Amino acid sequence: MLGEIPQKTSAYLLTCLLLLPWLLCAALLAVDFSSWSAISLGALTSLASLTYLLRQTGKAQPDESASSTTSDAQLQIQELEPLRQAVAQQAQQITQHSRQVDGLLNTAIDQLTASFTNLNRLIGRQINIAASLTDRYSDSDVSEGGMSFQQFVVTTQQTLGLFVDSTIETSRTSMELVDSIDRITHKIGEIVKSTSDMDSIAKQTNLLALNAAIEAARAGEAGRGFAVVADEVRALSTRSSVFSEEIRTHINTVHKELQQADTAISHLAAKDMSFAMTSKKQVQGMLENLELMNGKTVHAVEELQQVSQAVADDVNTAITALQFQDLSSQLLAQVRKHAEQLEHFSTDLGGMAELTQEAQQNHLHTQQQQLSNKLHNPVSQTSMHAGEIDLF
Amino acid sequence: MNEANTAVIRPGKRFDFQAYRAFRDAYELELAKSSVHCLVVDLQEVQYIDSAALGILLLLRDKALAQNKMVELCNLHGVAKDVLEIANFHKLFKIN
Repeated sequence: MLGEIPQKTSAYLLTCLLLLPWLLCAALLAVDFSSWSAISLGALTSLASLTYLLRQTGKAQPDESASSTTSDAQLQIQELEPLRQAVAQQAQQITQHSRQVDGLLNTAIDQLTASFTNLNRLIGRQINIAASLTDRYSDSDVSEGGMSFQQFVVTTQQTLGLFVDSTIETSRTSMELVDSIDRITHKIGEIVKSTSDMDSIAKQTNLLALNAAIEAARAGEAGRGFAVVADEVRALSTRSSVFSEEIRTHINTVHKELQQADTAISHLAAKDMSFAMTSKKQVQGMLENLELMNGKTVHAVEELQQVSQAVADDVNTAITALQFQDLSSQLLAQVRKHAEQLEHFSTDLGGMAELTQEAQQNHLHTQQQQLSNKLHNPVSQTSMHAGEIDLF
Repeated sequence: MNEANTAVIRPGKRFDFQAYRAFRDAYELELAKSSVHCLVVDLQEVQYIDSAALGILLLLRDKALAQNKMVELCNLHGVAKDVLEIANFHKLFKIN
């Protein structure tokens, strides 16, 4: 039987030894150690302490007194019964909580992975859109039959150039026409001069006819026939004058027509070139604006693309990082194994009371050995930096 | 190309259709001279130029080339310079 003082010491030690691991656990939690590792560590240590105490109790009996009775040990075990139940309860709690955490993690991580995957897909689309935009703006070759802004401006410039060329060509031809008109006018002048020659010839003929008529009158009867001829010649000279007058009238008409043609040609030839200059400057300005705008747009789209790429990289990192779920699940399963061992042990302790002292000792020894066997830890990692992930 | 065989023609302020005949008379006089191998059109005084003037210059070029003679432009400024540039005259004429 244990004495008064040793019994008190024993109770004191028991309390200390059982509390100490949990204090350690709290301390570990405080320094941000993996919480479940800490709890399982605390539970394990307290169980080890309990085992130790029970063994001490078992050993103490033969040391203290050879005549100690079985009932003393049974009493000890009965006194420890509430403690055993508490430990069993704790172990169950650990198991239950770890399952909860596992479930929560599973759900949350599944959702996160789905979200991130979707995000990744959307970013991929965004990058493609940005790329197509960049192509559209920077590539002048538009294959879909459409026309790029640059092409439009270049075509407009070419059209303007063609228009200017044709205007100048028209002017050149007009100037040739002016030359022709001038040559015709010159010829007309010569014709007018010829008609005046005709007029003077007609006048002289008229005079000659008049003289002939006078001479015929002098000749009397013999000159009558000659007088008739002289009259006819006068009539011809008069007709000749009328003709040359008619020719002059026609030529005047032609001259007036030519002057009108000259005016018309001047309208054709003389185009104010300021339209071309204004248009060219406008087109040039438009081109510069467009290039500036395109440059800015391309720059912005490229930046967008870079941002999207960065986001995509981050999302990929996040998706990779989400694989910590596997690690956590395995760690939690490990925690549950530890808890099951504790539970198993505490159940076993419950059946010890009916055993003999020797059987109790053997039983405890076996239990201690079982608990001492370290479980294989499948996860050695403590952090989740990318690149340090072992997939298992 | 020395001074002797070069003739200079100076159109007035308005180089347009109305100026044609006087201009033509001036250059035809020079082209008729066998000693003249190069005609220089000095545009110093020109303040207005229209498409007719461009046609006039092209026609002058054709006529001069027919006689194996050169036409050069000089003293381009202001509107005349802009218009001749738009018409790509630097590809057709030697411009000083």
